[in-house]
Amino acid sequence: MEKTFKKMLSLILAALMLMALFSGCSSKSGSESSQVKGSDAWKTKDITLQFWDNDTRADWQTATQKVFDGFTVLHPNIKIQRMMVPWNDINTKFQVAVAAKSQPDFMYGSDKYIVPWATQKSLAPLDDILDAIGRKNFPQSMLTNSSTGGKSYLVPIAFFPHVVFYRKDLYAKYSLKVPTTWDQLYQNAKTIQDNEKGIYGFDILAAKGEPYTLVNFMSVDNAALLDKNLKVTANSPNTVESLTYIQKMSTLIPPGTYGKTQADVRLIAIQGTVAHHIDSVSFSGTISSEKKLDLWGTFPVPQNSGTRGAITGYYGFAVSATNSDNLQATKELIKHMNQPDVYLGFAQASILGHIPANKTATDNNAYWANSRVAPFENMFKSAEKAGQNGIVMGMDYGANKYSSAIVSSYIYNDMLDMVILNKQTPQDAAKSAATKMKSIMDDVDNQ
Amino acid sequence: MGIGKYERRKRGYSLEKQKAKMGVLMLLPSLIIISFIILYPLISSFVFAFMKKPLGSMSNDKFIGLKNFAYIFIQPLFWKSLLNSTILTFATVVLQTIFGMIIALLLNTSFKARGVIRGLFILPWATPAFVAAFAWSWMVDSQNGMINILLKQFHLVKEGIPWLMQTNTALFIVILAHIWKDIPWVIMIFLSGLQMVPVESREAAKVDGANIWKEFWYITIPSMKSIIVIAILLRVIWTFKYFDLVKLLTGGGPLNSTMTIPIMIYQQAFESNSLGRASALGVILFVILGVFSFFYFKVLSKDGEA
Repeated sequence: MEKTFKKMLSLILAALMLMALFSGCSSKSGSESSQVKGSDAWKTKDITLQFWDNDTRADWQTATQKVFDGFTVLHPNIKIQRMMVPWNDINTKFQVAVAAKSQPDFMYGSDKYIVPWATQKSLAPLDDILDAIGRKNFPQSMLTNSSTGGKSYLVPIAFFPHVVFYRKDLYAKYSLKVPTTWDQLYQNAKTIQDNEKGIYGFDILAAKGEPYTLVNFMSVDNAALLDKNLKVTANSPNTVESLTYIQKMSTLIPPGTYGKTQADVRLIAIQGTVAHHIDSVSFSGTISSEKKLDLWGTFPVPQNSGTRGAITGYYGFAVSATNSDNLQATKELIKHMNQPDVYLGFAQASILGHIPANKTATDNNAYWANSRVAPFENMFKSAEKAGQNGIVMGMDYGANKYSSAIVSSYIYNDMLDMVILNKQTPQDAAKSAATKMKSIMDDVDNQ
Repeated sequence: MGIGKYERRKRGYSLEKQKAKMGVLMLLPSLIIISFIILYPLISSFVFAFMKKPLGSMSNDKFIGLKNFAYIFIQPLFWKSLLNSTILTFATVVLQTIFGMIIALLLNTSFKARGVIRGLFILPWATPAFVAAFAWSWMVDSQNGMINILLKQFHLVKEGIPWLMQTNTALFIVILAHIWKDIPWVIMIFLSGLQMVPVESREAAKVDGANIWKEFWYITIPSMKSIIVIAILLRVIWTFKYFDLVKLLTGGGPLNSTMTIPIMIYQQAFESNSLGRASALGVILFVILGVFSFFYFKVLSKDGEA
């Protein structure tokens, strides 16, 4: 009896193991591809579109869900499944998904990854949708920076230029003028810090992967890691000048804040500890939620040399569907979103400070009259202007094959660490960056 | 007529064979799973190490021989990572062994609430790596970290030290975190080893006038020799390939001062998108750890024979 019981138990355990073995196997759900080009099968077939999302903010979630719900009312056969993917993991996860042939149908496409992903043939070209929506409705720089091989791979949704947020009240108190040069900016910061107890002149965004302050100042000083011809210029006099200024700025930041994440630095700024906070215009969302609009104003990062502006990040929908019905359905969803009335509603409800990329919104007075947007109209219009010549980190002169490697190598962070943490000379930091840049290029070229 | 001896042996042998077949059948699911989870990735890694294989690309892979290895060996970062891995492993294992033994000896004595105290010592080992890394990064925070607050309290420093942000202190903290995390395992192994020390030998040593140190050196250590060697070898293997804490605490920075081989493998695979080079690094790591594993099995088999 005992022997039989033991045998039964062993058989059950073995069966459970077998089930566990096969439970991990699954096939991607989806209908078979329609063979006929331009088929309308997507209009009637049951389709589930997988959407990878990065942004957990309630405004974004609500605004996009409204768009999706409106689309699924028109096309009841289509479901949209949103899957949240952590911001820092999106590249890794997407690469692994492509290798496993389980990539999503579309995703939150961040500016820095579009060209590398497209070069790997992991994204679908979207020229047809852009033509249908009207290319002239989007900033040309965004279309250029998300194109490769003559094809476009992103439909931009919004952009967020970096500007200097400054304490209007302290400027008024000390009769300071909005600076137009780096020296004026530094002097204003020093004046406030010397006279206001507990308030520092600046903060610096320098967390790993977020070296935005340095990138901003390098760009407005016509410094870059690579020039237009992909020649290494990381140790140019302009780079040294930018690093020297950053090193000077770091003497006016709150102790212990170097290296903190953008979210933490924003918290420090909104608590009133700094006089200047250089960040994406989406910081206005924090200002709005803390009801501190009366304290903060903005101006562009002062230009020191050249014509390139500060960082202007952008994002949109990138499409990676391989099934032709899913691909067609996704394209129709994006077209639906960019209909003027739908897009206006989305732009008004989405993240405050993200400037709509489609001009049908910003050219419409109704957008600026919206109760959420209206208090920030001057701020956003100033940022919109500042963002016209903006750059994307790693793409100073447009996307190139080294862009993704530049971002993932943390080369800007190394320069910051050298001049601020290790107190090395800007010349040494720039030289080190040039050496590292050559190594990065060698790495990419030899892959 | 009864069954002959030959018949009885034949039937017994068939029964044994049947049982063996049944056993193999029961083991088959586990063996299949192990093959998929361990053997298949291992063999794939070895194959990829000799190929140009970008991660996520739809393009064709290419056999390139030893080029991945040649590329890795000329990178200064590889040698720096190897050095950091060696320092991390050596320092961690030596200190874990010394302090693990001291704590095990103390926990082996009789005192009140010994069971509770022993249980508390297991806690770091039971703490998930993410939680441990989070706790350590807050403990060493330059403004609000407990360590800096204490240092300032005792006037040992004027301003908080950004331990994880400085190239000359980051690796030190990573080593400390590793010691804290895994010393419970060492303590447990040594505690069980201490139970094997013959009581008669210790008593005889006491009678002969041996002091605590002589008893430890001439009785305890020789009795526990194989356990100590096995513990050290296992700790070396596990620490050398440790990824979690380093990735979570520093990610290999600042300025590659805590870059280790496992972190470099991750970076090559998921940041440089080169599966080929990541696999080549994996093969190198496999060879290094294989040497220690060889000694481990040698000691184990000697111990078994004894």
